[in-house]
Amino acid sequence: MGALQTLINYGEGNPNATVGEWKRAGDKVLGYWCSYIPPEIIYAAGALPYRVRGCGATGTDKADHDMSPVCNCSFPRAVLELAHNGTYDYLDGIIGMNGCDHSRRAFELWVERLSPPFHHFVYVPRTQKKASVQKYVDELNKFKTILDKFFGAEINSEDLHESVALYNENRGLLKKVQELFKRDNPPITGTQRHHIVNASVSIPPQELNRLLRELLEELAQMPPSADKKVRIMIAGWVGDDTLVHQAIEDSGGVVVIDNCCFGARSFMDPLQYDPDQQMESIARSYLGRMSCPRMFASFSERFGEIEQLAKEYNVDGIVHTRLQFCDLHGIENVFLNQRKGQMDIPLSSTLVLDYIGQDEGRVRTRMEAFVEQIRG
Amino acid sequence: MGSVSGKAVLFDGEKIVSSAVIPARPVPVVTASEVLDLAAGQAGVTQADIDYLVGTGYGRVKVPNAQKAVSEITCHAKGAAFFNNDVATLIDVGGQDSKVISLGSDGSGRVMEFSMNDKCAAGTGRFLEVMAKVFEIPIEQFGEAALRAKRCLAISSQCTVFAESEVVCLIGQEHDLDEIIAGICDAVAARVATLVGRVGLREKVYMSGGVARNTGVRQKLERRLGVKIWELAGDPLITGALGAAVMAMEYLQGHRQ
Repeated sequence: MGALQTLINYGEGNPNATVGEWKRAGDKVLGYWCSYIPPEIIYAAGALPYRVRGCGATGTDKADHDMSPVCNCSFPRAVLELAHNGTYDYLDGIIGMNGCDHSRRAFELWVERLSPPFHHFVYVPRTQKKASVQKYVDELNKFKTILDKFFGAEINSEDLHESVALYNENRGLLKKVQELFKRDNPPITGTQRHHIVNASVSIPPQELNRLLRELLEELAQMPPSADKKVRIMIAGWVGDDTLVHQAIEDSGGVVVIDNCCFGARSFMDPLQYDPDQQMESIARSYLGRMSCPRMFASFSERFGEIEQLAKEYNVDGIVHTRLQFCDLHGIENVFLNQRKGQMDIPLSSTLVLDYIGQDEGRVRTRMEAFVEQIRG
Repeated sequence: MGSVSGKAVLFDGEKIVSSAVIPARPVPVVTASEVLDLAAGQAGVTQADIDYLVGTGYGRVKVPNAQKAVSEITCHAKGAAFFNNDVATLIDVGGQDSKVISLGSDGSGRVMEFSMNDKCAAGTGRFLEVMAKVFEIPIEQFGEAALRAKRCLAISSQCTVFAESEVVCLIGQEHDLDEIIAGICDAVAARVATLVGRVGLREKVYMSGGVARNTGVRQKLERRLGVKIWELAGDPLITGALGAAVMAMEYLQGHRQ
């Protein structure tokens, strides 16, 4: 099997096959909730960082006992459901953070109801100011100390140094794959790229680097896709699901770029790492990279990123997605719709999603219509 | 291929040759086949005589022998522009979806922007159907009842299921049925007006889809939007099918690929 298919399989699997191998070697796997928790630190401690996902959940019956489906986002409910149904039993611990309140509650319920062997909450500030960076450094140092205690061995500066290097290499290689989408006819689909990105947050970084290098060689020999497609950017939501990508690409579009959490955010900006100021530079990089609307006053910055990426990737249309009840992306939708007249962006369309039972027909109709609208 | 009914239009490039509407069967392929037979029969031809077939609506990919499937947004815009070339905003309230489409001003039926309901039955024909069942009166009489009402009772729940229990409660309190029905029509209008707000209102405004025939919803919507809502020059129910037929001709003649 080639690197492309291997990566897609890893992206589709929740858990993927590397987790079993990792566990069989006697090592630990720690789940983490959000893109502001640095996997570098977890990996430096000797554990496999596994970004918890909702893929594979077919309902949210158990999660709904504690989180009403009437007003709570379906993504954290799906993750919590998987924790309830045993999918995440292989995790040796779970790490939460204050990304959005729905995720935070789901993390708390996970800890309360299921008593995982290890849990920790990282408080991540919401600005890039000096005091925030310092607070985040304190939090990361605390996190490191707790991991040291849990594993009975100290993460030394070399461990962390190596881990950052591996993850930065991940990002560099993923960005090379991403940049293939600047071409008129990218060699793979956006759906395939999304699977690769999903794999990238849940497999060992060395394995990822090896596969990505192989993938880039494979893609260099792959003929470009034949037709000229409508170039779409997905902005907004948190999903690791590929339904929206598929709906767009089955309608004659190609998803060339995104600014999403399971997406470009994890790899577009390498950490500006300084070996003499390890934690400081990690903290500053995480707070300063492609942002999430959880950050205060981040909308102008995010809209600037959208404008820039739309230009760089020659985007024909932007699908602005949010999950039902998402306050962060919900208000971003409103602001984007208000400001888009003044922004240098092509057509955009808003899509509201439900993570579980996304009623495929509804999503497909909206995405088909949008592609048709662009084609005119 | 709507969720409530199947429609077919035969088009010769200039005018509607025939059209048919039937209730949706449980199997979309059957609905498509039956409604096409009916329309073809009216024109004195058979399905085999159709040169180009475009499917639209939620069952668009289930239309046997269709050469293309086009989304209902594109088709409604196309069909409405064929009826009236001055449509700027089209409000389509169907069985399970409601949508607001802003059309280009050149009369060609080009979609400039559109907005559709979220995953929710409020503000759709389904909502009215559920309510009609509660009242045990035909949905066709809703419009008149709403117009007769001296006042409009507020239905505050936005959820169809909760709104139903609210309506049952109002009935239990022996409120005037016409006034409750006026409230139901206004509840649909309120949801649709929100969608209009997302796209932006441009005149002239027209309505298509089954609910366009409901004078109660139309009147409440006119009040909420503060504009006149015009009636299309043909049956609003077949707007989408007509648009598909017009596009079929464009494909056939090579104007569209």
